[in-house]
Amino acid sequence: MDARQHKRPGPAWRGLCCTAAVGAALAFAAPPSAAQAPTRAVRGAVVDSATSAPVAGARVLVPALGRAVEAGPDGRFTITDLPAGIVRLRVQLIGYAPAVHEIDLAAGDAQIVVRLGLVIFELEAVSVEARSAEEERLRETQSVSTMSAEDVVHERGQTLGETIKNLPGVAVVQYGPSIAKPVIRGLHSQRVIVMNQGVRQEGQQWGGEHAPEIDAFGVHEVEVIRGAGAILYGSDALGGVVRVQPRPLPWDTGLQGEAALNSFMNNRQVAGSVLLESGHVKLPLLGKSALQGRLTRRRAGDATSPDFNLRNTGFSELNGSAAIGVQRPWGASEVRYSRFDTDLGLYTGAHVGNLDDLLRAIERGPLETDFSYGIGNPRQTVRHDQLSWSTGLTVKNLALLEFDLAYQFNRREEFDNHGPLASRDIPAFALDLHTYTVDVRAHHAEVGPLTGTVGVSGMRQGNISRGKGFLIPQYRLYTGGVYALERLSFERLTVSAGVRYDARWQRTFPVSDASIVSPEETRTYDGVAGLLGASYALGDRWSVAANLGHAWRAPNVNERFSQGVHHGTAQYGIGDTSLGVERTLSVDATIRHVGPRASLDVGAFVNRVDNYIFLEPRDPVLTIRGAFPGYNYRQTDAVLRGVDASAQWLVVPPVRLSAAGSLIRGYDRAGNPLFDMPADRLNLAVRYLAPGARWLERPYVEVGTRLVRKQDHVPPVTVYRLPTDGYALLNLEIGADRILIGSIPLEVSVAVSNLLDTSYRDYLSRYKLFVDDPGRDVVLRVRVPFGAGS
Amino acid sequence: MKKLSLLKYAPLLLAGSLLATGCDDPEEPGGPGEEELITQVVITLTPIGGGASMSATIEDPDGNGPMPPEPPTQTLTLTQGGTYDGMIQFFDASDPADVENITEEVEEEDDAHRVFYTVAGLTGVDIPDGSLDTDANGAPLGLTFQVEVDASASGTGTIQVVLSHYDEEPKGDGSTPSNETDADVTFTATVQ
Repeated sequence: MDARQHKRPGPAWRGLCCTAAVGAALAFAAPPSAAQAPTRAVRGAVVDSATSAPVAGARVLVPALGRAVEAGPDGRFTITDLPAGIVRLRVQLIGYAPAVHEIDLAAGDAQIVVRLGLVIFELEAVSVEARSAEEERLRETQSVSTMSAEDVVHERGQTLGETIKNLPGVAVVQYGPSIAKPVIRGLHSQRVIVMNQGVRQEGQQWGGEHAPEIDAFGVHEVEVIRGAGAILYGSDALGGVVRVQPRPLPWDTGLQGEAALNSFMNNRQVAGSVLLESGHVKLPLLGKSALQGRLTRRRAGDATSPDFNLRNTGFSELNGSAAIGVQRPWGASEVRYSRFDTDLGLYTGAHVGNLDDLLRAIERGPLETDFSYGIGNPRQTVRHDQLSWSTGLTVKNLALLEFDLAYQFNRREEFDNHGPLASRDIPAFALDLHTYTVDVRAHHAEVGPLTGTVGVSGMRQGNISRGKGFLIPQYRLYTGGVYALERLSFERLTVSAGVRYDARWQRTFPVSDASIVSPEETRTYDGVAGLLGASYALGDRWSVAANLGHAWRAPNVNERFSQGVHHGTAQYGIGDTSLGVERTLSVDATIRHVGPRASLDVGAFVNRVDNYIFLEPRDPVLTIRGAFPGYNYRQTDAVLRGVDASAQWLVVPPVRLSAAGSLIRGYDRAGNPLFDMPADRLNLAVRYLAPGARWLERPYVEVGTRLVRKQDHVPPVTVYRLPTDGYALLNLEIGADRILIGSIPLEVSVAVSNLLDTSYRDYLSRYKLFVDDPGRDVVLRVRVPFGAGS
Repeated sequence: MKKLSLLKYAPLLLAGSLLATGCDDPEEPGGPGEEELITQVVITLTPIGGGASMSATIEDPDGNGPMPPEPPTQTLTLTQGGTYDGMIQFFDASDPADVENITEEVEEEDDAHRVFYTVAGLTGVDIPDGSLDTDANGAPLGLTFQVEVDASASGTGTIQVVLSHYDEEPKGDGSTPSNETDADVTFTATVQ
């Protein structure tokens, strides 16, 4: 099961109406046919795809010939003296997704109607010039992987982390199947920004067992930006950014929807999601609107390793979302609400007391238990509400303005085993996080080869602690940033430069318990993040790119104030309020090839992090409960280096080979390996595209293997064994794009991961000291689109 | 024909963002509330056949905080040839005005707890398993016990007291410690 490199439509504007963009995606980078003597002409009209009203002043180009005309106020244009062959036309105007049309003029003149769709809610300032998806990918200066909607449906896992874990450079820290935190180039938690629907996900992500609170079915497309330099999203993405895009509102279609079912046999899980949407809804006051609603239910029991049942690893989710939007000549505006609600258990075998308990548990191994759907203590309940309002306004020929306001409420409660029965229902830890964000962006029109985005963003956050125990202090946080990202596009060379200034003010409040050292403190930080990159196209199919990024991260409250035990490792972590800011300088270089039968993307990077915050072993901490291995939060200078690669090759038309692999090495100043460096891994797969039938569209069989090398680059000085052995897993998948059952079309796949039920422990599994990772899993994915758009 | 943008609406959208007040006030003191902790372990030995009882206390004033527990308040003095009735008590004294007796909770959940006693450095001193009180199922509990001192006992050493909590794994016959220790303290003792 691989994640294919996505062929993106156009540049990365993903518009509200993708008809024009879809046209671009389908267009291959075919050169115009040899010029022939007879002259042809193309006459056309440019209209707005939503309203069908003429669009004035669009530029119509024929890049291969260096020709350009401007459409008139009525949207009409004529281009003459064209060769009698295939001609590629590009129509663009600020505020719209560019349209590319391939027209065959061999038979005579042509008439076309170009529909341009408004573009909103995409934060990337890239060239407005339309290119095919392949060209755009070649011009990208940063290391990016994308998963299209199709890729996501194929790879959709139990969580967001599981869905993206096969992308190059990406790994996941897991606590069983229900908690999967994305790791990009060895960095995670507060060093990776997760953007959900244009809003920065804030959910106590510093926590080891706090994964992004995002409905896996609510993920429509995903983009992973590797490396520092995510200017548009924040200054603290030292590792990278995971951008989750929702399904766009259906501006042009009637009632339609989808029903999807995923089942995972390993933990006897069933997950279902239903989506309904329509673009033709007449509402009072608003007029013609688009509506979209989704409901997801997921229920899983204990996971199973090859020899043992992992007791209390089940989880239960109920998620929903709703969106309403309008599209008008001035732009578009939408309001989205989503709720994520989960109740998940933590493996009881990993819940230990002091160091003696930990060593006993490691030595004894797991207990024999029976499967159950029950979720008992220790467990977490997490609720995440997000309300956002996004608006895009076009300023004719000048700029596209975007305004995003959002409110997030995150409530995390953790229930423990200790304490008298009477109070087991009172959470041991309970944190409420209220986050307000505002973003204002202007994508300015092209000035020659220059295009770009400037913006301002702000956040106000409050953390309230309600539980019995202390985890982090209550705090008030304000951040503000101002940024600009510009791109210069020439014939072969593309240069990107971005800069971002952020200021941060945080006040932590004292805790009423005298035994906890947590005075009132106010801290301010500010800094500049930057990005400089270039890509150079070597011919039509190859490009090289290099990138320099600088980012910084203020120490987080847990790094400053921790005073307690992490039950899974018996680690007693002690914070340090004097910790300073982490700064990173990352350099990466990428070679890309995009061809009709093969594609390749190889990137290498060096990421130097000064003042890297980590847990350094110290003397054991003694409490009445015994001795715990002690760790202080400290800073050191660290360097991370690695290579990410992915390739696909259509060997002979029905057989496609794919490979993706990642290597990373991270060391501190003393030459010790850093903790949490993912082991070297390689995914290989062979897919056979079988001939279809009327009722069976594009069936396939895929056999793959996941090879992971042992991880022996581990920090020294731990009382328990850290290295993990290597492993190889065999995977099998059978599916089809469409199976017609009667008149109902289904997209179906059955995937067996770890076909041979191999026992293994992944280095990033937080249960690795106690029990193997889950064994064989049979995953059924079914999707039934219905209604107008299916 | 595209209309001019409605830029004038932009300030409204920005102003809306400033109205955000919501019920999030971290300035209001919040948790933590009362966490059930054991901050004090008291061992009491009473000689069988008469005599003054002695007790020692180990206290951890910062509870779960990083400061280590204080050393025992007293070293237990054992007489050669003596036998003692022993009692162990667990308290949550994190709020001195409201000391909670956790021993009662241990007793209530006797089938999920067991106290282990380990003698070190003292020859001829024994706390036999058979002398421990039992839970409802007949397995040892250990809130009371007996200390037997031989006539030729000697030395200065320790008595380690471990309160084991059986949650994930069943207590069974209580002969092995669990993976979840609620208390692990070491008292000092000497034979005279």
